[in-house]
Amino acid sequence: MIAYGIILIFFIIGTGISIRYFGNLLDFLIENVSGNGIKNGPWKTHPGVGRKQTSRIEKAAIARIGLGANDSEETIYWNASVDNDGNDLRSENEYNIIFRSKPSVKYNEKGFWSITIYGNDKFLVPNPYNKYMLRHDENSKPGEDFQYSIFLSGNKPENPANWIPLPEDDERFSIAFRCYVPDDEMKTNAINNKLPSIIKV
Amino acid sequence: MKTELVIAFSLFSLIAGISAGIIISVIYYPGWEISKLIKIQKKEGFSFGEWNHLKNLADHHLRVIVKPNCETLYSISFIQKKDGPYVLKMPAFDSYFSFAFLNRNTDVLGYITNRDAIENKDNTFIIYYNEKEIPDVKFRGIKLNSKICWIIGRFEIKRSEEIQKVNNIQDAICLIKLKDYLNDN
Repeated sequence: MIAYGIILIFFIIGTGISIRYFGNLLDFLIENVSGNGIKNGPWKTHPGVGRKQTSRIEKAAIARIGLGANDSEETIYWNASVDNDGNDLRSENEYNIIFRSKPSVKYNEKGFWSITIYGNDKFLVPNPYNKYMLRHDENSKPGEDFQYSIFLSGNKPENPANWIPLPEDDERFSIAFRCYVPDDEMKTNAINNKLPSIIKV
Repeated sequence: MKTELVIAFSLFSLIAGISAGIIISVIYYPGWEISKLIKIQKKEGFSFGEWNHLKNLADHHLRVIVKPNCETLYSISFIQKKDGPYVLKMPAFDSYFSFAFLNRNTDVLGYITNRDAIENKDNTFIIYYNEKEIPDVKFRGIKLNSKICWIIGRFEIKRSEEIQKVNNIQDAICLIKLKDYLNDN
């Protein structure tokens, strides 16, 4: 009887441990398994966000890093944790995010886009300027030649208009590129869409 | 039972327990995260059908939502099927907005957005579960099929000077049970 009790206790301990640390397991999987995500240069997105047919494990991962995210009909979330050369983004470095074409959103339906910086813990990074993102430039009209770049660095540059501060301590960080009301090109051909480059300075 | 057998079965049992825990977590993790949010809402004094309007853009102090955006203000509410249909009244708003409706598995059930609204006018929408529940009203609507639904409103902020204006819009958003709406009208 005692033996059965011991075996049962081990089962309960095993269940408890895996439930307690399931979030950490998800973090590991998110970092190391691409799943059904789409990769385009340094950017990755997951077309299954918010979809009923998405697998359970992917839904759990999405709940971990993007709880409440819109599906790709409404918003496409591109994320990058490496630069165009495939190296980890680190806040001791400086980067340019270079747009060579206007992001594919429906501007005439009030679509817009933004670039946001997150720390290694996936939360916004404290900085003296309370500046975490840059968004769609209102002055650039659809159809115009679109040239735009965003500078990322720990130190404030002389012209801070197109600048987003990086974490003060050296750490890995990530970039989110949100496209609200994506157009059909972005939705159906995300893998070939012209996304901005992330170049280490 | 021999000691060696007990040790062997205990180790096997530990591994089986870990596997069972992983399977349970995979199935229920999104629901647990939603339950945590409902608890937080209740703790902050918001019942089902009440809005919790976040009046400032997300900053580094916000730790409830992973990877929050900083270009929209959020308004959050949970509704229950047992409370029946709701009417959602949205004041005129000239920028991007969306209300996403999610179930406990975080599946998006649908949206009400600026593309559904008549521009420069107050708009009224109906949230329902069954066509038979709703009277002959001419509102646009969204049909849900979930016992509990999480509504996430997002309202675009183009520049920080707009925050107060959007706060006023948030305060004017009305979510009212259909039966109460019909009594009032």
